[in-house]
Amino acid sequence: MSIFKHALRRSLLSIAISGTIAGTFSTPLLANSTNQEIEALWQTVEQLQQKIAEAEEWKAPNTLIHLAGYADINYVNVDTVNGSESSFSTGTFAPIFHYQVMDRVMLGAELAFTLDENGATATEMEYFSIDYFMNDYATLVMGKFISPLGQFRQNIHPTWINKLPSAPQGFGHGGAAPIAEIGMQVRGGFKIGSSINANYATYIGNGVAAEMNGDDVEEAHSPGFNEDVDGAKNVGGRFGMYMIDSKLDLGLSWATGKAGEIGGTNGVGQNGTKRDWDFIGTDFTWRLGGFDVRGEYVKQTYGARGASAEANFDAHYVQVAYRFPATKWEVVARTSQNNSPEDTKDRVTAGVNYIFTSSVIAKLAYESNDNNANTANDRILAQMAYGF
Amino acid sequence: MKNLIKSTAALIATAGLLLISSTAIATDGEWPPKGDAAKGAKAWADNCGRCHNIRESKELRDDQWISTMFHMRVRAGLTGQDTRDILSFLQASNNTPVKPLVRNSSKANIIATKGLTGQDIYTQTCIACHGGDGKGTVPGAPNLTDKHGRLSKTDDELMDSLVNGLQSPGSPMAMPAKGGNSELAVGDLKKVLEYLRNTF
Repeated sequence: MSIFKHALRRSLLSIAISGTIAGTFSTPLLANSTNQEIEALWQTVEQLQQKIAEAEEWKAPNTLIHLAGYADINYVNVDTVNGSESSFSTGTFAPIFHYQVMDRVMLGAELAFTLDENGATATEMEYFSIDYFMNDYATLVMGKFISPLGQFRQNIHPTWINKLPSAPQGFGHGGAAPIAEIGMQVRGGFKIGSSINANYATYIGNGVAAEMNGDDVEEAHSPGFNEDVDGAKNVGGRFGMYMIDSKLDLGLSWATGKAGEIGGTNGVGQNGTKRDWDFIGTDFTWRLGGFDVRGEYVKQTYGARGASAEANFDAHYVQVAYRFPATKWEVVARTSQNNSPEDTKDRVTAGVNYIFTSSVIAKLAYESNDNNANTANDRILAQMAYGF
Repeated sequence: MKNLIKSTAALIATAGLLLISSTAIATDGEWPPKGDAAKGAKAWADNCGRCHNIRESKELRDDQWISTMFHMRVRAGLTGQDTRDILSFLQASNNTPVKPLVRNSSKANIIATKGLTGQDIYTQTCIACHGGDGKGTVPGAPNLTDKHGRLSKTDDELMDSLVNGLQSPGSPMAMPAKGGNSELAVGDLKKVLEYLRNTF
């Protein structure tokens, strides 16, 4: 019994000593180890925070530089009296530069590089403006801007947006639809209730000119003149309403002023060589399921001057596109007409598109052209358009 | 001379009026101010297809979207608020989802972060593209009421799509990760899935 008691006492003493030693030495060791781990973790966290801060720097500095634009490559086969002629050609390479100071100012410029038939490069400044964001509903645009009159020129003409390889009759250079303007513009948007988005643009600028052939107005000219050849400013604008639920966009455009005469018998910008100029236009877009329907009508009137009669230029188009559900295929048809004092030009175009991505599109179309003299040629057009 | 003075005075008066009417937008802090990503999803679906094919969020980086959206604000006549909303949606949608590294004991990524029901979240985030009736309001959005359609997939497959986003073959637009609302947790998305199962 005494042996058992002795053994028990020894065991209890050993446990007590072990516990004491452990309590004396092990706890600080564990604590030191934990503190070191925490310190190491903090250092890692701080390093990560620094990395994140550096990675965030590029996202929104106070000034941003941005490059966008579009380009296209073309193939055309033209019917001729001797059969047909075909060519590959580069279309337009149009980089757009944006320089932005926070959400206050943006400089935007689009250059258009093209090659002529001899391979020589031509450069054109499509627009160049400094935009000042005044408030949520108005932006002041100063410089050269795409004409805000109508819809095709200001929103649809880039080749990655235009669903056919060519423009409607009257909506290209020298047509009834104004191309560009140099001056000042205020534009923006606001809500009418919860189901209508209204948008507007109003401008004052150097205006347009009448390309003369003798005493007759031969062509409407609106490239964006860098001086006011007639000494009178033109004013105008567009008001649009987008009915959100019905996906219907309606627009009305109006402008008035003077048009200087270019060429002809009177030279350029001389006193007495300007005439009244007026513009009206209306446009619509309607989307329903896979359908996209749009159309536009524009008319420019150059008033009479002396023996020279009033000249009217008008153009219209209607376009229907349908994208097959859950595919990359789209079919498009468009009819358009341009009327000038010298000629009436008709164009009917039908095509099919393959949409690689939202901004890379291959187009193939057949275009039937007609004019008063029956000299217009039909064409087969293929185009690869790239928006970036 | 008279005309010159008149023109100059009119120009100065107009410019003055425009500047006076302007309000400060940029702040000293972070810019651009955050918009509402859920409203942005609807505005994006409503507006961008008016002229061109709808561009997906992943086509550009966050900073590229800033200048692009300000360019489009001018071109399309968007309000400043719509611009910020769409920008927030696109920036939230183009982040590549990274599987979060969490400790086993943490349920932060599993538990719903908000006291919202699945219907609340659907109404705030999903309805812009999928519609109140689930039949879709934009090109590419599937008909959720179709018996053999998207909801015939397993819960795991659908959760994967909700968490990481989905690009259907042939669809012009992708569903962004978490419907474009990066604040949603997996628990929130589970509630949405439950709502979809019970409703459509």
